[in-house]
Amino acid sequence: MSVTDRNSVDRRTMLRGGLLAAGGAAFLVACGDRGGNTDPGRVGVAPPLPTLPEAEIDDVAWLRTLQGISLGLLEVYAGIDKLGGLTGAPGELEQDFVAAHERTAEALGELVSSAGGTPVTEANPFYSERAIQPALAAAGADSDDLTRDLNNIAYGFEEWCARSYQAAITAITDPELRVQMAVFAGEAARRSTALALAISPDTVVSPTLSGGQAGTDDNDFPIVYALPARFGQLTGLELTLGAPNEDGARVKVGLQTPADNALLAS
Amino acid sequence: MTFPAQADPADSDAQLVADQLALELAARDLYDSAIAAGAADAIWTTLREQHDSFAQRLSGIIAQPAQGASDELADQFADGFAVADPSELAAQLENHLAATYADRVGEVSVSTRGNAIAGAFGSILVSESRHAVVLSDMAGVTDPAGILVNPIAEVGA
Repeated sequence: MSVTDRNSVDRRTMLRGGLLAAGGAAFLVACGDRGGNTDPGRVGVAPPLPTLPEAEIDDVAWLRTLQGISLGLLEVYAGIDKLGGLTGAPGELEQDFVAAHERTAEALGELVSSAGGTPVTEANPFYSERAIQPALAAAGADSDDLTRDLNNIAYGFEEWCARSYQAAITAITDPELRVQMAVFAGEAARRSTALALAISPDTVVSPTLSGGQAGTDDNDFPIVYALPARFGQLTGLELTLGAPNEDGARVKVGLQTPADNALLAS
Repeated sequence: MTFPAQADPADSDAQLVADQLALELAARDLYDSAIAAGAADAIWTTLREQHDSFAQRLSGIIAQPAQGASDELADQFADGFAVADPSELAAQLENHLAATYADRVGEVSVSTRGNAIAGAFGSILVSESRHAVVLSDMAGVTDPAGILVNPIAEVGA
């Protein structure tokens, strides 16, 4: 082997070694800790979002929410009265329903106080803004059948009230309060049933009890049934109200049983 | 170290369910007796099936077959039920059952299983309250106070 050959081999080896060392260093840097701000950043310019206080969801929150729902039903009937009130057989029930909601709201207020909370004094704003006022506005704006719309509003909200109280039976943990919620749920279901009988006395049993589907009338409004399902339901409701628009669609208002974002924490 | 003996809450929950299951079977049998006595309207079959479904749901919760209908409830209502239109007595039966569920919701343990039982009790109570209203209407009750409130379980409101 000549001197020239030995020098050439040495240079290659040195270059290979250098490249390996540089690659290894880059790898180690990539695997190391990253310093600095890890916030992903935001698009646009806006003030930072406030940190919301933690809300405690307890029995008092549920009691206050239900009291707000009962007060909301009073808001419903006050709004119905402004639009002319319920008429016929449903109209004969209205004053008894109003008295029942006043009594229930008062009883719930006492339960809230006994549990160390502060009773509410007005309808739950979450439902008032999202359901009660939109429903009344839809009936009042340009209803093509005000009697039908007011009946559907009263029935829908009474049914929603019954489902909300039923939901509270398991959401509330105090055994004595659970009994109270069960009584309220039963009474709310009675009002809903009595109203269904008054609105539609010939449709007592829903076809769903025999494996069929609940029906609709000629204008696709849901038929109300005194016995709407095998068991008490906890699912939401959708009210169809008002006259059809130019596309044939009517106003829809959703009624959901209380979720965390609707609860009135203390 | 030893611990004081404690009642097993799971067992007491199961007993509560078993007691309600026996009531539901008795109610089903009472409606059967009415149908056998000539109660021909479809509502009687519907109500009979309702109570049978309630019994099945309760049986499913405790994963045990029913031990039999409640003799006590059957004896309490049997005399007036085996007729073609027992609507007035049937409304009393439904009120009685709904009141029982309302009471027992307060006896169920606060646990995952207990909550499932309380949920079932609540959903059945609501249905039986509806039954009572329909039956009261059939019986010609017109006083709202006799329809809108369970006379057996008037608590708070």
